[in-house]
Amino acid sequence: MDAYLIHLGSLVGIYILMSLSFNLVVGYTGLLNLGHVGLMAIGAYASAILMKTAGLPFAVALLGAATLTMLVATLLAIPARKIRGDYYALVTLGFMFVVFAVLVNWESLTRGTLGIPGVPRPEGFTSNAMFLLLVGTITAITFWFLDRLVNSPFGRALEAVRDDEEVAQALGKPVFKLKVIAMAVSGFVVGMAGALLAHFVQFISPGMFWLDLLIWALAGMMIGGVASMRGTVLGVVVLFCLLEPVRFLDLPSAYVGPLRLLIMLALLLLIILYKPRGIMGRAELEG
Amino acid sequence: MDVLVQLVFHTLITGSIYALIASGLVFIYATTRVFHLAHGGVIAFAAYVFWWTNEMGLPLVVAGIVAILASIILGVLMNEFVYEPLRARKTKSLGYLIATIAMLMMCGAVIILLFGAQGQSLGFSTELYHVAGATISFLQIIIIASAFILFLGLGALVRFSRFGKAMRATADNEVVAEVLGIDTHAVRRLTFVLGSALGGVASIFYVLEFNLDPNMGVMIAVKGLTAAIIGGPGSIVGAILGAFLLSGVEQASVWYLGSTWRNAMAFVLLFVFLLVKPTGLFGRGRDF
Repeated sequence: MDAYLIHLGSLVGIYILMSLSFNLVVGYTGLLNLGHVGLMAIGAYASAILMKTAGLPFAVALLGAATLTMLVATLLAIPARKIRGDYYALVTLGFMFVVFAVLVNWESLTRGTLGIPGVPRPEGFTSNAMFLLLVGTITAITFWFLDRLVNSPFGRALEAVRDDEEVAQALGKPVFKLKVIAMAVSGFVVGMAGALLAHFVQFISPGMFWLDLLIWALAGMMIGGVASMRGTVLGVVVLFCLLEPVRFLDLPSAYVGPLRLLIMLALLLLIILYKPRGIMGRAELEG
Repeated sequence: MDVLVQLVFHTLITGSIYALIASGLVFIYATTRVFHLAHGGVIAFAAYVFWWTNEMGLPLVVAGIVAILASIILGVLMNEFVYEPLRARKTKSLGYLIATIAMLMMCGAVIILLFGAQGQSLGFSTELYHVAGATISFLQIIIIASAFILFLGLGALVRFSRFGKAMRATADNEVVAEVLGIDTHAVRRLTFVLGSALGGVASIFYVLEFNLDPNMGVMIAVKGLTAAIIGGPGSIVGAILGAFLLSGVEQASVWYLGSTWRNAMAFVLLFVFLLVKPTGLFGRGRDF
């Protein structure tokens, strides 16, 4: 049981990183970036390839992957200059699909649908307990940083952009620049989350970064609360508490995944219908 | 030359099915301003109902009627229990988008729980004809012909009928339509009935022509959306042309690049059109 919880702990941490960075862009800045999971895939593949194929040390691979993801996220922010609301959401969803298509078809680099097995863990962190320590530390530092960021004047400027872009513009806020910075920070964090996932599971394939994972990010954010970092942590933990017991039901294994997904989707739908702010949210989705 | 003719045939066959998917999607979008991506899930579910009803020993015609009914019921339920409450709450479009993606994914999970995770196929075949060095089956001719008849019917309905007028009025301005005594809720409900019925027809052709897999709803939604965006959301003619364009690019990519590139084409076209020409080829534009 302890071994299971230690194993689960790392995943919880990684999903919290993913959802925190999602909330920074979606909840605080009002950009529904449905390409978040595509960014995560870039972080995961970059770190795995840098460490396994290029033989670089873990720290370099992790930071390199996060930086690359940050750059791509910055590029993905450019359409947000003109395109807003659900159209931006569709553009970024399209980005996720394109990333998937590249991962599947760029076989010489990614091995296509076969995925990359044997992604190494960093030296000294090969046990699940040590890896949990690593993930926990990174998650704690990131949470502290993001929580401070959103409660700073910068964070309030982001929320002004979300609430009313024209007003923010009229007040002299550099709206586009704020969006780009929010996407860049979010990209760095989710790139790190992807890299940690790759080294933790030690296997990555394009199918891991598909709509199911996007639903995790959406549900984690919506349940916990739009524009609330504490809420996001709570949301992810609540989701794990609800979904993990399904594994212990006496069900054929083929049904466990769909049932977990179905529970998560039903929750997401109920939240949107009846409590769009989530448990601790301070805003509703804009756009 | 044979290859070119065969490519044209395949483009027409697959394009007809995509066009049926996309026209239902755009028909619903035009009236309700909802990108009803769960339409892909509805079609996937109806496809499994069609396959299962036929497996139970009922004739194809009966299975087809059951599939269309299942499609209509599911589509209307989604509107009544999700979109209408969201509308009543004055939810922003992002709320609809998340809800529709959630319902799209739900259909896949429900299909696995009800019908199993493995793929299926009907193994239905009809007589083959050889035309100009290429092959086409009787079924495929029927698919193309019935799709075109349905498009003409749909066009006539939107343009000439009382419902068509009420629908266009609702699409233009809901408040004014209400003031003029149009029951906009009823219009939206009927829109979902007709749009989902088109989806039901698409699901039948899909099963007869391709294989089934539980997660196919997502790809169906992506292809319908891509066709709609290429054509310009809101334009049914545009969506139909967009569907044939998408189908043509797919067939060409299979021939020149290999079959793994096929789905990538829809992704790339969707992304590029959204970025470069979000009003599509035939759209009248909208506010961003």
